[in-house]
Amino acid sequence: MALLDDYESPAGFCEVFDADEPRREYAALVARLQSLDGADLEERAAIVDDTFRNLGITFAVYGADEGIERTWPMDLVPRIIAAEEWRTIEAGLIQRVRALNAFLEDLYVGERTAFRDEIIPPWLVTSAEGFVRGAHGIDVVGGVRCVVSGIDIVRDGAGTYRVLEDNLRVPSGISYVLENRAAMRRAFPVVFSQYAVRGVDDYGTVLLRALRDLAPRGVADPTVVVLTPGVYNSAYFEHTFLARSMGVELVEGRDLVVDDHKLYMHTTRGLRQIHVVYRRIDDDFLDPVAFDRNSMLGVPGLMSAVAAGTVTLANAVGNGAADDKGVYPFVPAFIRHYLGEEPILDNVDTYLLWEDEQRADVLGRLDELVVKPVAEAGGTGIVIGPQATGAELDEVRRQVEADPRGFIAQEVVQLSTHPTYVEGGLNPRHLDLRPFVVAGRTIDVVPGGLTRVALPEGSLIVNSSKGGGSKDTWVLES
Amino acid sequence: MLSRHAEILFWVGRYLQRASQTGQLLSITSMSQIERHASTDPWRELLEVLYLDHTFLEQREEITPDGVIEFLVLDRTNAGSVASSMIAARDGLRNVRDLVPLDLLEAVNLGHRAIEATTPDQLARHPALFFDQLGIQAQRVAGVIHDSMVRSDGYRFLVVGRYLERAEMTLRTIEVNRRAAGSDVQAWVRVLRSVSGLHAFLRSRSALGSADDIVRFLLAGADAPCCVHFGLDRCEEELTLAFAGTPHASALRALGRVRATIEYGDVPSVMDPALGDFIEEAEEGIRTVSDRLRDDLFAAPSIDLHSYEVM
Repeated sequence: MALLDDYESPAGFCEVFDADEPRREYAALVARLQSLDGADLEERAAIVDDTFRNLGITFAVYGADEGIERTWPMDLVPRIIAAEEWRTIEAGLIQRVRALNAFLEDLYVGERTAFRDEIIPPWLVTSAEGFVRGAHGIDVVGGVRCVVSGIDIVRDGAGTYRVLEDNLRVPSGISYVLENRAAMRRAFPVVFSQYAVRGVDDYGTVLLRALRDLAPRGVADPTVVVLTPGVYNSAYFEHTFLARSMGVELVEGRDLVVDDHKLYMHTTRGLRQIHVVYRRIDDDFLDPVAFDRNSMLGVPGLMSAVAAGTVTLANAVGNGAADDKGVYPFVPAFIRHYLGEEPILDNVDTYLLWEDEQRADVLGRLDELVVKPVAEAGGTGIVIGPQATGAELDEVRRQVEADPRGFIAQEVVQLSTHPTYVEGGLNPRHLDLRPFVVAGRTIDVVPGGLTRVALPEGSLIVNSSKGGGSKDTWVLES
Repeated sequence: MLSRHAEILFWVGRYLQRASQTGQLLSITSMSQIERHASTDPWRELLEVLYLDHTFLEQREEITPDGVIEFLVLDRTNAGSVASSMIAARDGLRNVRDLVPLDLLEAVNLGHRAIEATTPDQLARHPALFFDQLGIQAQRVAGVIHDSMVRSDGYRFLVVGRYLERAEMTLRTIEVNRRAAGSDVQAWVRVLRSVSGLHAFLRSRSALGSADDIVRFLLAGADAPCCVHFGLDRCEEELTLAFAGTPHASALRALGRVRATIEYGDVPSVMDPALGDFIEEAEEGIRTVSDRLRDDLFAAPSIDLHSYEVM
């Protein structure tokens, strides 16, 4: 019996089948899968696992036993996105990043037109955890604050793409996009060659070009580095990957020193000035003089160099004011306000719990909605109403009433499903997509992005720290 | 390159060399057991070469071949074991994975995984097979370094680490054999084999060499990678390039001193206790190079750290 004969899509949108028939872009893949059996897949899964292990492509799991390294969980069945569908997504992402960037410029160095024109209440923005008062008045080269953005999108029951979340600080995952591609080429050379898939391998070039675009004025040949918290960070693999693919140094705070408002690194040939830092450290830890004085990761005086304009930080400090979940519901309004355009990609329907009317409505039907804490990441603290117990809902109600600004509520999005190799066969699992947007002088979107899969049956939580897997994502040429 | 990365690569070089040379020493020792012309206590001597005889006897009651092999290969509580050296090399490489070719990461991971997958039982049953595999893995690592690493400072510090480690190990091997075997030529031939130097010796000297000839070759030979002099020459070349145009000179000076002693010094005869002093001086010289290197790389910057203005 062929692998997909028994396959049944659950409620919601199925990425591969439309009423039992494979969608056009999936036809060749489905035919190929049908010619394989479980043993073939098992064999290919072993090839992938072996490749990842030998190359040390693993991630550390926080909270798990020390020293536990898991290999990156990539599913064998790729996700395919048709060319015209991608064009819409791409345009929507570029539009969104432009608007978010305009909002941040307006907020930190502009006239604050968003407040003046009552697009968003000022208190909501300044109470965002990622709002940085100290970033006020610090110019950013070219006004590009969101250099690398990861915008999470999902597909609702009708198959419409919607934005679930913006990540404008230090979004990670791009290295896995590229490693997935390399592994797929090894595991499924035949299928891969049947499709004209848009390449992702030039990411290092694209990113380096953007970072060099943003060097302080007058620096013709800037020195660019990647700043990592160090080898114990769960995304360390990605940091080394980025440094490698750009051919730049991967530095830690202890390699750096600021003197006379300039940033330097210690090299075997003495101190060398740095002009652009792609930092993978949160704002709080960047500079113990300006922010958290207990931080051992940062560089004392770094913000003074940034303020003096001798070094560019990417992403800029204070972006957390725009990707806060409490600010998220206003992004469509930002698009209208700053760009004068209608949003190409919609938000998921979201309710503001600090508005009395909406809160009352939400509390009346908690069991139908999703409640998310605004300050958490990685799927932590999310309560999905239809799957929660009465006690859990009571607890959420108590928390929301105590701190309405601390939460948002959304309609449950029945994420789309995709055949995934689990439990020895192909079974439907829910997924989302994190495309990466890179802005320098121009804005580029990496074709595809990281497709994350919730591996437990029925689960809607795709984060890798919560047992999520991933899929290679193929955007077709035409 | 970053000073911190230079130091890490230096140590990665040392660990990789330590792992491969420990394997090589073990392989020769267990082979000489089979060939029945071993000196009385080759396993104890081996532990002494590695400065691990005391550690071993603190943990175990008596010296047995299987016990020593397991201790030197798989025992992770022994910081000098092949397994520990590979783990240390791998951990080091994790810190600099953007600086080395993927082939090197892959080669080291493969070596590490092969050791992790070996049980004490398997090792005791087929030691020769295991050492062969270990040798192949080590050659693969060496081949990748030679073949695909860009000749930048990272390569240089890695190579310096390898040769310094190798020189130290060779000096130790000579010293232990001097005490145990005196002028027994067969014992010195085994030493040559254990440092991959027999072929080089036969080609460049002759099969009629005496114990003294072998010792002089191992120390002052300039044309074979197993010779201390050869290794120090390479270190000097690489460090000269790495430190060109910098004020760092103390490691190079220390290196020049120990190299000159070995190249131009009169090497005493194996039966003369002065050979022991000669070797001790050379070992001390190499340790000094290592220390000076650290001083050079991590010299405090001449910057006033108190001049910040808070934004």
